[in-house]
Amino acid sequence: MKTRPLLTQEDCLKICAAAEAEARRNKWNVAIAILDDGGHLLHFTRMDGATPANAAIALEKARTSALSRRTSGNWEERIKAGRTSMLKMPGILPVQGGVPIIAEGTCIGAVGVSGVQSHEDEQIAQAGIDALLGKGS
Amino acid sequence: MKRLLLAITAGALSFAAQAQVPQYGNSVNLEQAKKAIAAGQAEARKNGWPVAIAILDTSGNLVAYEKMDNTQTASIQVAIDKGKSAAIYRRPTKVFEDIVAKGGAGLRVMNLRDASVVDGGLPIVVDGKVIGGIGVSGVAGDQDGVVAKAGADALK
Repeated sequence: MKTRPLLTQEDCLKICAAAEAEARRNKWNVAIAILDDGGHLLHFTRMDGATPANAAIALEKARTSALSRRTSGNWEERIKAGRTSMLKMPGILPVQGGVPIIAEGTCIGAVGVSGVQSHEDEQIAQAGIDALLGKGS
Repeated sequence: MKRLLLAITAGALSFAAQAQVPQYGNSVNLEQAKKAIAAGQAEARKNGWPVAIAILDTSGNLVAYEKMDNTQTASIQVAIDKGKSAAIYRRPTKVFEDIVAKGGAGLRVMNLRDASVVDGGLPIVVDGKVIGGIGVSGVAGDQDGVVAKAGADALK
């Protein structure tokens, strides 16, 4: 039988603490969502100053990455490159800031961040994932 | 003079009516939300209950959320739904549950938009003002309610 790694609550706390620290270090107020590979919410944090819209956007970015197994920025790039038909993909928010969590070659979930510029959102999400899996993951 | 008196009486009446329901205060901040989740989880862990806990602001938007390992998947959304109901209707979901249990005209509550009719959602009240809602799901409704109360009480 095939087995695969699973995100635990402890993993989520580790990811979120590092992502929040990265945001605080830069004085950014963001919402951070962590989902499992089925797109189910495991952990969520909205820092003071982040808007209700950020809450919804962070969730959607994370869902995009969790279910498509690629960064939401990747979708953004493909559309920017001219594949505008990708805008109609179901459940896809093509805005940078969602990053899949890949462990042992398998997508086990995703982190979505919203609140600052989208490349900064992705930087925060990646910082969270790096804390769990090590840098360059 | 008579008209003025009437106006004053009407004003006093509407004030009295308002005083009966808790008013909204500033929305729950992240520090408060984390504190409530930690207290709720401590209660859940003590009883061996795997639950999801959601904290929502006064508008029903998510502020913080955490799911314990082995919580049933359905509870993810149910916890958020209960917290939202408690925040935007400013009353515990148990109130709606009891109304529905009595049957008859009370069943209309089930058709209220975004209302949850299952115990486990509580308004978070600080200094007499509603600052948000806490929703818990994962075990039996009354047990969810115990966890929600532990979380809400931590901010009193």
